Amino acid sequence: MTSLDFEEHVLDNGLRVVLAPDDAVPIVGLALYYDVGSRDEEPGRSGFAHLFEHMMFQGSDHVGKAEHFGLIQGVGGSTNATTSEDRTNYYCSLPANQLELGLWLEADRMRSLQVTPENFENQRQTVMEERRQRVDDAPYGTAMVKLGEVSFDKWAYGHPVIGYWEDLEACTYDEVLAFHEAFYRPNNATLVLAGDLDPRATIETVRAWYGDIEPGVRPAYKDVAEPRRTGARSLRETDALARLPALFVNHQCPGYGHPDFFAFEVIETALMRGPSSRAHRGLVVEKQLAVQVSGGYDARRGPGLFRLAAVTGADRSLEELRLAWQAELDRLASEPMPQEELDKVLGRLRSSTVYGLEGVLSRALQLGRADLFCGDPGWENRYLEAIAEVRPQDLQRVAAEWLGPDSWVSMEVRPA
Amino acid sequence: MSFPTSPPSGRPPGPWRFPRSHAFTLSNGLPMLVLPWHRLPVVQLQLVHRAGRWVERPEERGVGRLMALTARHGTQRFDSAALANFQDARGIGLSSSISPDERGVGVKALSEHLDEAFDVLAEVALHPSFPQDHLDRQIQQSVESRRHQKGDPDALAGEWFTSAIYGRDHVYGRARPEEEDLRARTRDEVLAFHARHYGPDQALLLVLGDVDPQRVADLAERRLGAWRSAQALPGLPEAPEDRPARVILVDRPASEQATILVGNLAIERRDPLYDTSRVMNRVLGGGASSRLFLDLREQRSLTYGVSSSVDGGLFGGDFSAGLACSGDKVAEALRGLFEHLQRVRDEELSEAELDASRRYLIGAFPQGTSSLGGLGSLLSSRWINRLPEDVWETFMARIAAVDGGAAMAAARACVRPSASTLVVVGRGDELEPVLAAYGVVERVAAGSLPA
Repeated sequence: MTSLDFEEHVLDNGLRVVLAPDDAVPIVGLALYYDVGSRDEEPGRSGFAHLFEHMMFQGSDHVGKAEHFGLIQGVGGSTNATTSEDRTNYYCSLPANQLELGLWLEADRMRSLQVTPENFENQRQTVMEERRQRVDDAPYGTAMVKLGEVSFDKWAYGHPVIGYWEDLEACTYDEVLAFHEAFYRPNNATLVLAGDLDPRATIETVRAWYGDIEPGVRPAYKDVAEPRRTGARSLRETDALARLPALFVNHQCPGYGHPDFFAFEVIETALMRGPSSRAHRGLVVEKQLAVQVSGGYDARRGPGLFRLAAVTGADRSLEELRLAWQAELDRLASEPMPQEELDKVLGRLRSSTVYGLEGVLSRALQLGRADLFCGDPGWENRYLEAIAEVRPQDLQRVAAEWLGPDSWVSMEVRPA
Repeated sequence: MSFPTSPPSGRPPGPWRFPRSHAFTLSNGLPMLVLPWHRLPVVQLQLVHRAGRWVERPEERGVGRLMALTARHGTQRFDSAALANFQDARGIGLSSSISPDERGVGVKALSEHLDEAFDVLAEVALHPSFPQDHLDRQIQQSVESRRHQKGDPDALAGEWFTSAIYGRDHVYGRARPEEEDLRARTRDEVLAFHARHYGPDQALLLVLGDVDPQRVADLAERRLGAWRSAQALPGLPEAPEDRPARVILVDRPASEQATILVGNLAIERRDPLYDTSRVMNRVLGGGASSRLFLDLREQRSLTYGVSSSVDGGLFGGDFSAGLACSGDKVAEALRGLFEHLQRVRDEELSEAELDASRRYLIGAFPQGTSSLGGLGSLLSSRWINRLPEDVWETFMARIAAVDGGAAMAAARACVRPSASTLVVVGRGDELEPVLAAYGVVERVAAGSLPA
């Protein structure tokens, strides 16, 4: 198997269901994607989508506070949830004989939330500690928030998923149920099950347990389109928690669904993935301008970013590093990528695609993302074909159009 | 079918057994296990060697790390760039690592590249050339990486904790090499270290994936059969001995949170209580339904994450519990932590807690064997830790047999709050008065070294 076999269903209430049976191991992965992320938040309520994700573990009609984890772990399963700018997903991995438990738990909290003001306050405090841990107490953490703000003109993508302090403090318990009513409806979700399952029995159970949940009216999508950046912007910060200087550079780029998406995937791999990638060889191994480089194509449903994050030695020049990075981007525009290198990129993407099929949960997550972001769970199955159609001249055109020397945002962070 | 008002009980589990592997021995004595797994056209090779960092001499600190890092940057057949290109053209993943207990070289590839995967493994494990320019770069980058690490509160807490409970002379308590250690290392030392320790006599080759065992055996013989023995390994390190409990405050004035780690020496991996300690720890702090999580996070709102663990290796083991919280919550968090550590020793676990813990460990075990990485990790752990041959076949039955008395015995062996060392990374002025309740506070700067 090197592609995903699946079947799709749509319930009368709009819930999309994707089933990907594979009985090789007695495990099922469940992923439930809701079409809501931080970009749907209103100004003054940053962080609410993520805080709400925490509330989904605080109780529903038939499940008490914090029982969700206990029920899943009590059968040997694991579960978690994540929130991004574009979506919120809830997922679990279960022994195949416990598939119904996962379906029941998700149905119960889609049908109803039973949370109290005390639980809301408890999770607000928990999220504040999470923000301290991930942002305020982490080297480069606050700089990353500022970089996000200046990388987008519009607030929807420019504010942090974790939220601002004042917004976390201002949000109220009353907003929880309204958010559930607005976004956690079956017609705003995709349910994916992958692994050792009987498709016929599974869809019957899904219809029985989810089919009578009332659909809702999703609030209008925010306009996230960005004007094309003209001009470069350079910021400098000091960070008392950091021990080494770091450079972050963002270029604007298009997101999922754009015709140049696959060219960016090739560019990311050629520049950033693997020991022979251009940025790793050029910036780390040969010129030794950076200790480590990371980043790449941050693709979103709306406009995305092409990122560099590099930590460098105490005595290295951040400007020299930035110029060397830009020179790599300029080379993409000025020189056609040799066919041999393009073949290497294809080989690497092919193997990573196969490796990505190893776990049933990762399959469920891939299918859910593809359905939500691309409107087609089978999108991943056509990925390699589309990558193979990218030509050297496409890469030159895309690099010239998006990754030029006059349209970036950079942030230099130095230890205080 | 109306919506049920209680959780479905699940269908009976199907039969399951630990996957069977095929054992071979190459002509030079190198043992090999081949585990066929045909779900995907993927193969994973792992060469595991007993010469971990514990074989480093005191005067050659850092040589193992530099050996492992530089081995992938030049071999008899490939220079650094050629090896990188060879890998990437075939999508071959390569890891070269060294831990206190073991040295490992791992290769992952599509099964159509099995031959080339063996090429990469053999070159990196057997024939590294350690080019001077790449060694120099690894030294410089290791120095910078060490600086970077000293900004990370979790790394700081972990390093001070292990050095305090094991002592800096023990391999588990030894901090990462400092700049002066790294800059003192030479290419000759790295070459000698590699030649002295690495041969087939203290190694195991694991091959997992979409392969035919006999073909793999033939390939392995061709690529690795001529590998010649190295010197005998040095005598094993002595078991760590209990040291006085300490209260260490790592002063990081710009901190927005306090990072807390508390614990003590416990049991090594081979200890008969090890499995039982996992059942016990699951209840105490081993996940989102544990006592620590439910109380300190879900009830008292003190932290985003809190957990505990029993970590056992070849040469010792420890118990630790930790969390991060804002400075004004440290006093309550510490009170809560110590209450739970004491309680798990004093009171037998409830039957419901025990049952949930056993069910989790038993139910999760087959899931851990559903990936090549999970299977490889179990097989290499069995060999490195010299565990019984049937340790994984009998794992679930052993867990099912753990009762309240055994769990309490494990708690008393592992969780010893009165002998615990406490490490807190955060703002010194704010935290020192709080920590004084736990003993004489040793206040150290974040950039200083454990002594």
